[in-house]
Amino acid sequence: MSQLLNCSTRIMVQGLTGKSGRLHGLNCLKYGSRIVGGVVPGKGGSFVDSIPVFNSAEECINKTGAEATLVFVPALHTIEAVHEAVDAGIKLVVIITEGIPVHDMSWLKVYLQKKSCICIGPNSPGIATAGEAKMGIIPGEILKKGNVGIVSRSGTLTYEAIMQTTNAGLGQSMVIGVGGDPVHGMSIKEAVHLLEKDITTEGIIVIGEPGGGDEEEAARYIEQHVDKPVVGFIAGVNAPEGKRMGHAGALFFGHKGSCAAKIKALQGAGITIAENYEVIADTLMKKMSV
Amino acid sequence: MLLPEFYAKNYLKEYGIKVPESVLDSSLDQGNIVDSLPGSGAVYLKGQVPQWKREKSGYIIKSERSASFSSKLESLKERLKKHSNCAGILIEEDIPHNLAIYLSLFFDSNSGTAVLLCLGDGGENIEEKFCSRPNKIFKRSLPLTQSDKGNNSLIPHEIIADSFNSLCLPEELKTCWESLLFSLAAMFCEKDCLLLEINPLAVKGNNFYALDCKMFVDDNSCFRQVTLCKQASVYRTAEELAAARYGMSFAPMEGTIGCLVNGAGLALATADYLIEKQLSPANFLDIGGRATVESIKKGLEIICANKKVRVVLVNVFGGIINCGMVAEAVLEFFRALKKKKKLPFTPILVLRGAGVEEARTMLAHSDIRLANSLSTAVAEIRRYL
Repeated sequence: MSQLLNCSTRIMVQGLTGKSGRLHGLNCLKYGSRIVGGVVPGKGGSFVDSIPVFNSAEECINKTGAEATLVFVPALHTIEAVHEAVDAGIKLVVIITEGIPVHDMSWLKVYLQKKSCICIGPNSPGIATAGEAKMGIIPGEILKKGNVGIVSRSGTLTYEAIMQTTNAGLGQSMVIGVGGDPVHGMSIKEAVHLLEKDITTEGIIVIGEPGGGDEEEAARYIEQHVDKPVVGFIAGVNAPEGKRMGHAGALFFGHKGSCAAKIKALQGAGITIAENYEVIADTLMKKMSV
Repeated sequence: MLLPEFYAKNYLKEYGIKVPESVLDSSLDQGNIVDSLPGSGAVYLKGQVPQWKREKSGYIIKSERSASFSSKLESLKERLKKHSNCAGILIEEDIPHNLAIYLSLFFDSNSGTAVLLCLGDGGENIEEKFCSRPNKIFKRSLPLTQSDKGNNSLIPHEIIADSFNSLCLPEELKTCWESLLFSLAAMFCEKDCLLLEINPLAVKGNNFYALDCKMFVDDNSCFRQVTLCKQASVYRTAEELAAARYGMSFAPMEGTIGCLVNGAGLALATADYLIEKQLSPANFLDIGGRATVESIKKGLEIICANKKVRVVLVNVFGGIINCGMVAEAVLEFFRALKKKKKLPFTPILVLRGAGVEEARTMLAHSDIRLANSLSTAVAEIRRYL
């Protein structure tokens, strides 16, 4: 998965001096990520541990050669910050921030597509190439270099799948938390496409939630293009329909977006659905050994 | 968040879209207010309760303005009283019409853009119609954006023409259709809607009338849609509002197991797990990524205020939040209950990830049970039920 993120990817952290930015920025550095700088308007010239902080994305990129940005900037200013980074030449954006208005994100998504920029999130736990680098808030302790690719719309269920595959001895090749918001950058389908092409990945886990059509779209793609074993899990089978549970999407048109529709689409594409979230890795192990 | 119909229709009116004349009894205690409604034709009595699904609620009654009106009103009021979050009764003039159109703007998560959807044959059973005649539906992505201020209600001309043609309407309605779409798009953007749906949209003479409106506003826009947030709050329970103030999201369920979980996905999966094991969750509670000792204690308080709850399950995967902090909050909360000799529940904790060891040390000398997986927690839970 080195084409998305590896230990030589030069990463800057927007919002590095905030509580989350500092904690997780340093955790990423400790894990092995090449964090080259931070961007916080008005804090230029200071340092967070050994990481230099710059006033603008442009300055940071010019001085450090940053290629990717990890965004912790609060929701009110996220769009502005990402816009600035992309205009200054960033090609990979990972947005951890939650609570960004959907209309604003829709605008940003169109803009990022125009600039051929890859975006993960918002409301994402981030991405990780196990054993090499991570961008985001995935706990480094549970990651283990291995052969399972994980794509998820849910943060905590991503950790769950990581821990299970680690405990099972499989480990992970790449983890991609696409984010739980209704409008997000990389789709499940695009993430699965990366994992299918990645030679270190031998099995894939897809974790979905109610709402939207990401899982259905991925199912169609997997049926035609993916040969690796895939296991799916959809949370929220018993959630009251239409009610927005946390960030889990809610708007259903007909049966589109319901858990039942997603499970049916995934099963129709040959994907095995884990019976409950505690057996996700077990289900994949069984499928990979066939 | 879903806005009550009468608020949504007030906005439609502000944006120049015609709606039926109406009066609102917001507290269900204003006698016969139908007399203040102009005209003398039939009226609709519409109970204002959150309606997520598009199906008959039983809270919409048509009535003539005759002797039977009062009894119909009273019986509707009686039935609405069981809804703690009822926002009143909307009494509306009937608009006789021949054509009922379905029209909506919503966000499509696949394309990440707004989508215009319309169907000439709207009204009742619309979801069935979506499934049974997909080829009759007009659906097109729109380049609408909040950030393009001033430009945001511009819908490409061909989409206006194509959508109009798909409905087979008389030509003289075309200008009216165009301004309707512009108004709707402006409202959709300016009010941060995730869904703005008019169904049915009645055609009467050379005008369109919005007979019903479903307006779903983005929760993330609350900071700039303060009024909308306040208006939507009448549809939320006291628990939901209290939880929201602490950055948590709460939804009641029917069972006896109080659940406190971090992350919407894990919270949903926990409820699924319990139900699969023939156990019944009492609620959904996602404490969110910014939880503190204080907010977790508030969450436990909300859960324990439910008389049906017999056991409390805390399921947290430490990442952005630390398990040690969760253990601290749980300990403090249940110690305080114990002091007051009010401890009808036993908490069971499933903690993994960041801070687990810290939590284990803190809980070592308490009677709070720490399980290492949900399956072991379930065995514990069964002992208490």
